[in-house]
Amino acid sequence: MNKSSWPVTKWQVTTAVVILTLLGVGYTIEAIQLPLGDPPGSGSASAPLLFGISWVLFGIIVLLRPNELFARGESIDEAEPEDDGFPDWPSGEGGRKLILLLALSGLFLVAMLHLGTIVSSFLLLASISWLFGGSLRQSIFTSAAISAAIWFIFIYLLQMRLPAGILI
Amino acid sequence: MDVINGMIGGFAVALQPVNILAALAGALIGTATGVLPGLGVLGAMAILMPLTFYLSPVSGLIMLAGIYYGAMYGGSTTAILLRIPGESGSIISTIDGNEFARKGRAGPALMICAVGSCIAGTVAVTGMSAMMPTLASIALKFSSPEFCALAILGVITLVRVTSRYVVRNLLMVVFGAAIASIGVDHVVGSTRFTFGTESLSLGFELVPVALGLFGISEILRVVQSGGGFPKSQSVRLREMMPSRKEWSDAWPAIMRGSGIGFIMGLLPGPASLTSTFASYAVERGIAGKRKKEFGKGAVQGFAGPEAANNAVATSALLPVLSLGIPFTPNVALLLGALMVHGIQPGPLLLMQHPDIVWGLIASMYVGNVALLMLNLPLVGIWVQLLRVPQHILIGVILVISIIGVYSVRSSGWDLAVLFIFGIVGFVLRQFKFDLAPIILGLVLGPVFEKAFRETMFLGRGNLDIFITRPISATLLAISVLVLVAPFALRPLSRRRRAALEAPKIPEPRGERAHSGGTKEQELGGSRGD
Repeated sequence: MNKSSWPVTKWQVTTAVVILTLLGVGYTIEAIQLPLGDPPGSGSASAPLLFGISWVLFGIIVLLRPNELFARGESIDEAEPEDDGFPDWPSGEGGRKLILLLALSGLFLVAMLHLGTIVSSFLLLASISWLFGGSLRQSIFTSAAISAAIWFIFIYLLQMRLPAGILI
Repeated sequence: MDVINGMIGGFAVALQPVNILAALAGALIGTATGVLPGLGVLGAMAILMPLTFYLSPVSGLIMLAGIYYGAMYGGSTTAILLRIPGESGSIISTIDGNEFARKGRAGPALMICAVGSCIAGTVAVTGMSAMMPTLASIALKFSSPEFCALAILGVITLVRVTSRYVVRNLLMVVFGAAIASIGVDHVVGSTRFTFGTESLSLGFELVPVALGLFGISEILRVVQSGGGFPKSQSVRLREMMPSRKEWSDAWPAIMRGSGIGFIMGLLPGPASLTSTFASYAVERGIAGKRKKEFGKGAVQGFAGPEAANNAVATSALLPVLSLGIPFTPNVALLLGALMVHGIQPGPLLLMQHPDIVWGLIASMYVGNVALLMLNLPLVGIWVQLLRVPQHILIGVILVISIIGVYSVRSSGWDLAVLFIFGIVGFVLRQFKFDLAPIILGLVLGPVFEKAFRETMFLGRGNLDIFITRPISATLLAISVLVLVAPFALRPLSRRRRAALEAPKIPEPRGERAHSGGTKEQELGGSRGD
């Protein structure tokens, strides 16, 4: 473990499941206020009540069973080998890149509506490529080519209605 | 006769140029996306699903099915070349497939997988064509209580078989189902759980949630880890032909795997994973003296499981098309896409939309041949794809995800949902939560709710209706059995294990207490259920 690493702790896992369970409690309280319908169970509340009660119940069971709470992988969708612990939280270089990526994505969402899909795609692709290790020239050329492909596939071929922005 | 007429009609649909193109494009981009490490089949399907909404329902579905089995094949490619399984069904191929490739036989391994996938797909499609009308007529006997019970059985079997952490995954399923209930109540048209906000009344659509959980969260994980892609075995087209001995070892395993996969795909549960393990066990079991080759690059060790995996990809569609109940997250996503196209899968689908059902089945024949024709010459390109710099791939996946989500209903809320679920998915992964059950809950939730409310209406608010009807009572009994049996059988298996270990006790080595006892505690302690 290096100096800048910030591991996921058992306390954090417990807190996360507590928060998840409390969300379930909130959901159930809200579901109780919905109509149960006539005959009972045919209204808007029936399924949400079932989901909410199960949510809280499963949350409590997970909290009470350490083996469930501190699970070590073995996922359905991916072949994650069983490892010894939880992964670290992002910190240092990885953390900075993560924040940068989220910030660039946020800017892209705003830029897409004003500058249009193609121009903002080019800007996002070029900046990610450049900031994440590509040379400036390579980033510009590759991003221009990919943006052209995006225009061809999504706008020309599939006729998607995407913001055109300054290209109108 | 119905089958032959249906297939003739299906081929008339599938062989239309636009649908051939959809199958080819789906298989091609599915493979390309499936090859990318980390994304997996579910991620590939989620990212590419919005593309299919711009086609007619039948073309869109054909393309999505092509993406599904293309991504499955792409996952096998990385399993063999890089020892990275693209999805759960390829886990077993990483053992013998990669060992075989390391012996300098990467090309023949891919060739055997491609031909095996084609054969398995075709066997499964033939079985599916034959069984579709029968199953559809059986499905007509199903009513709301049976659909409720079947949904419960599907979920319980999935979480029970695929993971040790049953309650954890059930928690994720109900979380997904609860998310699906936010917004408009589609039965009465009123809104719920919106807290008076307009955004929440739009609800949580499948595309942004699935893309956030599997696309964005994967990008965040890649960026955080900063790791590059591993080095692949090199493959040349002229070195792809397997030897005569390799073929003679492979084809019986492919046929057996196809049969195992087809049957297991029809059953509730994660057949993609279990069928490959079953096929591997069968091949190893009948190997006789060659058993020791397994784990060191036995052809049967990856030819059989790969065939089983691909047969499942086809036969798992049968319960969805005839009953409208998905048993795996991948198929749940397909069901979601059908609903977006305004098609309600279920017993009436074959009657109401025969063109779609038979067109899809016929297109699978086309798709399987297309996969074989495309994947073999292009295998060099798939390997090259792994060498595309990460800083370019990240941007491309991000832009396609955002455009894909925005294109569905031009909603800023959906983009917010995309990133919210990207971050939620990233955090849940940090805590080792499975994300796939959320998708299952998200798709099955509304199906279950509709069936449950209808049942309550039919039963005048009385839950007895579930146990007074023979089919639903049987399905619920099986569900209880699947859930409870492992708990009930545990003392029995402990006693048997203890009995088996008993003769070791008098051994005079002094090691018994150290090794046997500790191992027993480890086994007992590590079981989460």
